[in-house]
Order: sequence, then structure tokens, then C-alpha cells
Amino acid sequence: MSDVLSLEVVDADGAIREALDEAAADSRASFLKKAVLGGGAFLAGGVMFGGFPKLALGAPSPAQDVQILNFALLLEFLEEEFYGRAVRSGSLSGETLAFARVVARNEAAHARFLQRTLGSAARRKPRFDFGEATENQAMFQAVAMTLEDTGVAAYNGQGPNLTRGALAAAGQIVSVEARQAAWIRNILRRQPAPSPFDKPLTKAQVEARVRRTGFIQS
Amino acid sequence: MLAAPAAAEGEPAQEPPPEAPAAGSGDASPAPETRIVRAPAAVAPARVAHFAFESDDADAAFECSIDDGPFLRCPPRVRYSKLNDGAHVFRVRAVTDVAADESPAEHRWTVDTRPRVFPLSRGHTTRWAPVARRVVVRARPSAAARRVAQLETRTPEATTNLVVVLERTEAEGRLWVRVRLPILPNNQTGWVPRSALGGYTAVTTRLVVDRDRQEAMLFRRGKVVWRARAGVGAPWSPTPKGEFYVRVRIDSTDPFYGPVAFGTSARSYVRTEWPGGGFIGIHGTSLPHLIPGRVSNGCVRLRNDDALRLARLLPVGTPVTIR
Amino acid sequence: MSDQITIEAVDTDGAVQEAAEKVAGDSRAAFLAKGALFGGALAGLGSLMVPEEARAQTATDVAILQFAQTLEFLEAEFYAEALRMGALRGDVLRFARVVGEHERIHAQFIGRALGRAAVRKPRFNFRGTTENQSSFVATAIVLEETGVAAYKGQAPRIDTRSILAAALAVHSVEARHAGWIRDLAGRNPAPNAFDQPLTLQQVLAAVAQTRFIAGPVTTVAGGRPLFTG
Repeated sequence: MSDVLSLEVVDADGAIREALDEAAADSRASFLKKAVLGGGAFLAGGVMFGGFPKLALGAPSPAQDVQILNFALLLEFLEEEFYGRAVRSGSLSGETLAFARVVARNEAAHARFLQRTLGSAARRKPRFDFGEATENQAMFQAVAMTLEDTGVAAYNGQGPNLTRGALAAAGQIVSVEARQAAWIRNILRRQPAPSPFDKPLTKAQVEARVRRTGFIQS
Repeated sequence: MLAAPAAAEGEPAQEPPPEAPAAGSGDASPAPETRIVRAPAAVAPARVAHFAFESDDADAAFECSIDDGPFLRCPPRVRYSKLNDGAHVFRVRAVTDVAADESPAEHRWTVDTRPRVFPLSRGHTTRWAPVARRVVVRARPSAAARRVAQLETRTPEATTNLVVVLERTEAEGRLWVRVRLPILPNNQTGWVPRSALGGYTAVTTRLVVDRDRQEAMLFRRGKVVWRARAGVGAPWSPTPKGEFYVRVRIDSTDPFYGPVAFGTSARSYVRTEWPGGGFIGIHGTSLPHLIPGRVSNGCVRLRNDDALRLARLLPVGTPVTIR
Repeated sequence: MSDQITIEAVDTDGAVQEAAEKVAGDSRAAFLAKGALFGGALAGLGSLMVPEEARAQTATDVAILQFAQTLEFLEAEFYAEALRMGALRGDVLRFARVVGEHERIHAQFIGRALGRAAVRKPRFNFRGTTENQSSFVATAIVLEETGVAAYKGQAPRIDTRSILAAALAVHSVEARHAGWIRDLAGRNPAPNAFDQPLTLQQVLAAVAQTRFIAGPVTTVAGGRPLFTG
């Protein structure tokens, strides 16, 4: 299809360099202050509709961005460690190993990006214990699917609470998580896109899911 | 509890005689088994076939036979080419120094290299497409095939020329579509590259004109939704028989044709010098008292109120069957 | 395909009833009178959560949604035609069925959010890309990637929070589609750590380059017919 525009890829390293350069060029504060959403545009009071859970109240602000991005950083730390350890464990094979390698690289890039963006406000990395989930391929696959689906739902849940600049950055990450979710689901012969709309989760719902895994030790 | 039969008194228990050894072998090892691990599909569109096979005996060699031919030494992977269309059988047996597989592995398949066509119009659904560029129509889906006609992008009425698309195939590395042609002799079809046509539109209507009963009916998904008496071609200028389609609609300013006229892909055999090519139309009339009857120059004439009712129901591209 | 799910059926914890009382600019009675939540043909799909019937209220939101609806029509019609053209097999056929239904639902949902500002479905010419499996796969990759990049580019511009929530819910699903079809094509589903947005102009240019949106077809003329009579 030579006459169709190919949206084929910027090389992976190029994309990461670009994102880090952008974050470094702005100071952390000005990056997060970019283009705050205009005043009267929100429906009063923060809203909850038709099955979507209550989104966080409060208009977007740089301070709230810091909280939300730190929450995202926790998830990225978790994924970075999970995938990194699983790859190093030698217990993965075939397409699952290929998946884990690609995703480990992507999640590491996400974590570095968020750390740099948050600078001194970045949370510290917790200690994780993944038990057998990084030692056994079947367990790894199941956990990976849950992590990716949860990541998508977490970013979608917080997206409307972010300032425009932070939303743009989060937007560049969430679609990668969604690709990864589709990939592992395909490996597992599950529906890669189970619904026409990806349901968002609240911070509390995501935290509950993460707590249930028992992975975070500190 | 049944006891084993006692040996006859005084005689030692009989042991079964030793098995006769396999021919030529000193230690009764069995003949090798053969298994085919790669073979063409049961119906394959290719004249080339690949086979791969293995044996449970690591030292075995192989002998292959194609289409009941002799078994000849072959490597563990083989390729046959220039196979003709039709049924084939491949057999392979593993052989060791001392034995050959007495039940060779066998694979039967059929080669069918006829171009596969997919119907684009079938049952109640007819598809049409605009002619996007002037194009030569060929008798077969090949740039080297006989030229049948040339299609233009506009009709004589300056509307978009369109053709009913019947089926699609792939040939010479591109998609081809067989289309119904608005040319003489009537009822011809031919092949054009898919790229010469625009997007497909489907209709589920069909207009049927019965010349003997002087009647026309419009079907939608097989059910009659409109029906009327009609005037058809006079014996010296008959309405042609066959399969056609509606190509254009005219909001007519000429009362001879009534308020609305549909142009079809059908051509008069006798009015070939007619300006605009002598196309058969379906239209109203200033002479309703002639309907029903064999009265026209080939067109299908309707009373004006019937024509207006039809116009609300008849999309362009609708197939027209005239019998 | 417009089975509508009523509020009673999904509002198992009264959440929607509660929200109805808070909806700005809308009386509770009016909200409930609108009755059915958008359900579409979702029965049987895993999680049945759908965004609320958001309404585009600002000019920016209307423009963005009209643009999105055109893209969704393009995708939905591409997949629908591919299913009718009979050239797909196996996993690719399954992909087309599922994703085609998603895109149809997206187009319908956006149409409702636009109300009278909804766009008409254009006429398309898919130029054979629906009629051959490998052309289909290559084209599906381009369409899904364009969709992801389009939603990503527009999301930060959206004024209305509920529209933004819905746009994010669609954006990540398009990314799932992209990952899925890339996997089927034997390509890396997630080759970059960060996906790039496209501007409105860039997406319009990409769509124009496909030439899938067809020019007008004239089938009606006026004047004096030329038929034999």
C-alpha cells in the first residue's frame, strides 16, 4: 500500500530521547503548569454516570498532577520490576519471553520519564516481592494481563484530572499499556479488546487491586 | 477360580515356538515406521507440492512414489512441481539396511489452479460501482486477454457511468472484477481491474419486465413492492431480453417520456443509430391508452402515476430482468 | 442494532439515580425521562460499562467529535465491507468481526453526543483493500494507528469532562486494536515506549492520502431523455 501514509514507528530509543528532552527542557514546574484547562468547562461537582465510577473531585492543578503522576510512577515501578525480574528469571519462553522483554523496556522508560518529570517530588521506589509470579510462566501471564488492564484503567481514570500538559504525556503512555494488554491477551487466546470502551477505575479501586496482589512490601 | 490348564501329565509345559525372525535380520528388530509431517492441503491451488517425513528409525533412508509411480530413493524433504489439476497421491516409506516399511505413509490431495472467484452479486443482493477511469474491458482477467469494450466515466446524460459488479478474482497480482456491460450485443460481461472502479453500493431490489404479459414488477428482497401494466417494444423494435441494470434517472422535461425516466444498460438492436446510443428506458408516457401493449420503440412505458410510484422505490443500480 | 439498556437494568447500586440529581443544567426528571442509557449491541460482551450519554456543548468539542465520528465511520465501513467481501480467514476474520462492531458502536455513540451536529456517513471507496487479506491487514494497521494518534492529539483540547472521559475510553481501545492487528501481522505490537499524537491537520492528510473517502456520484439528470422511447 505504497500510497497510504505509513504511521510506522519512530525508533524506540528516539521516542524516549524525545520525551526526556522535552521534560528536561522545561523545569518541572513549568511543564506541569502548561495550559491548565479553562475555567468553567467542567460539569459542577465532579460527576459520576452510567457505570463510570466517581472521578476525583477538584479542578486540575500542578499540585494535583504531582499526586497523580506519583501514583502512576508507583504502577510503573511495579511493572518495571515485575517484567525485569521475570525476564531475568529464565522461566519465560517463546512469545511470552519476547513480550516480557519488550514490555520491560517500555515500562522502564515510563518509570524513568515520570521520575525525571517529578524530579525531587518523585516517590521512592518500594520493595516488591512477586513470589512465583516472576518464576512461573503461567502465573506471569495471568498477572501481566491484570497489570496491563489495570494500568489502562488507572490512566483513563485519572486522565480527566490532569492538566493539559500532563494529560498529553499520560496519553502517550496509556496507549502503549493498551497495546501491551492486547498482546498478552492474544498470547493467552483471550479477547484483546473485550469491550468497545475501556472502563476507567478510581485511584481507590486501583490501589485495592494492587494491595490484593501483595506485591508491594514497603 | 480357574487354574491355568495343567500341563498334560508327564509332559513339560509347552512354550510357544520362537517367532520366525524378519527376513534377513539376526535379532528380530521390526521394520521402520514412516510418518509424513508436511504435506499440501486437501485442495491446493498450487502446482508445486512440498512434503517432509520422518521415521522412528534414525538410520532409515526414504523412498518416494508419486502418482502410483515406482518407489525411488529420496531425501527427507521433497518438492514436486508442474503438477496438473486433478487428484494426486504421494507415498513414502522408510527403509533400513534390512527392512522397508511395508505400509508406506500416503497423502492424497487435489490440485485446483482455477482462479477462485468471489460473488459480489448473489441472491437478492446486487452490487454496482462507478467507473472511476476510462478502462478497457477484457474477456478474461488478464491484461493480455481479448478486448471486449471500453468503459467511459460518464453516460450520454453526463451522469456517472456505473456497472453492476458480478464477481471478483485475483490474477496477475491484482484484483479483477467481472462487470455487466452496457454494449451491443446485449447481455455481455467482461473483466476490468478493480482499481478502475469506485466504491461498491449494494441494492436488494430487482425489476422484472414480462414482455408476454406486458407487466413490470419491482421486488425487494424477493417480495413484490410495486407492480404495473406496461407497454413494451413493438415487433419491429422489440425490447431485448436478458439481464440489465438501471444506470441513470432523468427527471424528464419531455412529456413523451412522462415525468420520470430510468435509463438501463440495455440497447435496442434496431435503433442503433439513435442519438445517445439507443438505450432502452423505463418511463412514463403521454399515450397511456396504449398500455398494455406492444407499442414502443423498445422502451418499457408505464402510466405516469405508476412511474412516479416506481421512482420512489427504484434505486439506480437495480438489476433489470427482461423476459 | 439498538437494544437499549434501561437505567433500572444497570443501576444496581443507585449510582446513576444519584448522579441524575447532580447533572448540571438538567433536571432530574428530564434526565430520567431520557430513559435508556446507550447500550447498543453490547449484550454478551464482557464488561458492560459504557460512558454516559455525553453531549458536546462547546464549539471545540463539536468540531473534535465530528472529526472523530468521520474516522469511526471510515473504520466501521472498512471492516463491514471486509466482512462482506469474503476474503478474510481465521484470526484476521475474528479481528474484523470484533473490531468492526466496536467501531460501529463508537460512531453511534459519538453521533448521539453530537445530536443534530452529527455528520453524515460519507461514501467510501476502499479500493480493493477489503478484498484481499494482506491488503486488509496492512490497511487496518494504518487505520488503527491513525485513530490512536488522532484521539491522542485531540484529547488535551476537549473542554467537557465527560466527553474527555469517553474519548480516553475509546482511545485506549483503539490502541488495543492496533496492538492486536500488529500481532496478527507478525509485528511488534508495542514498538515504542511512548506513542506520538497527530494533529488534526496531520490526520486529515493521512485520511486524504488513502483516498478512501469517495467523490460524489451523480446518477440523476434533468432534461430530455435520449432513450428509444
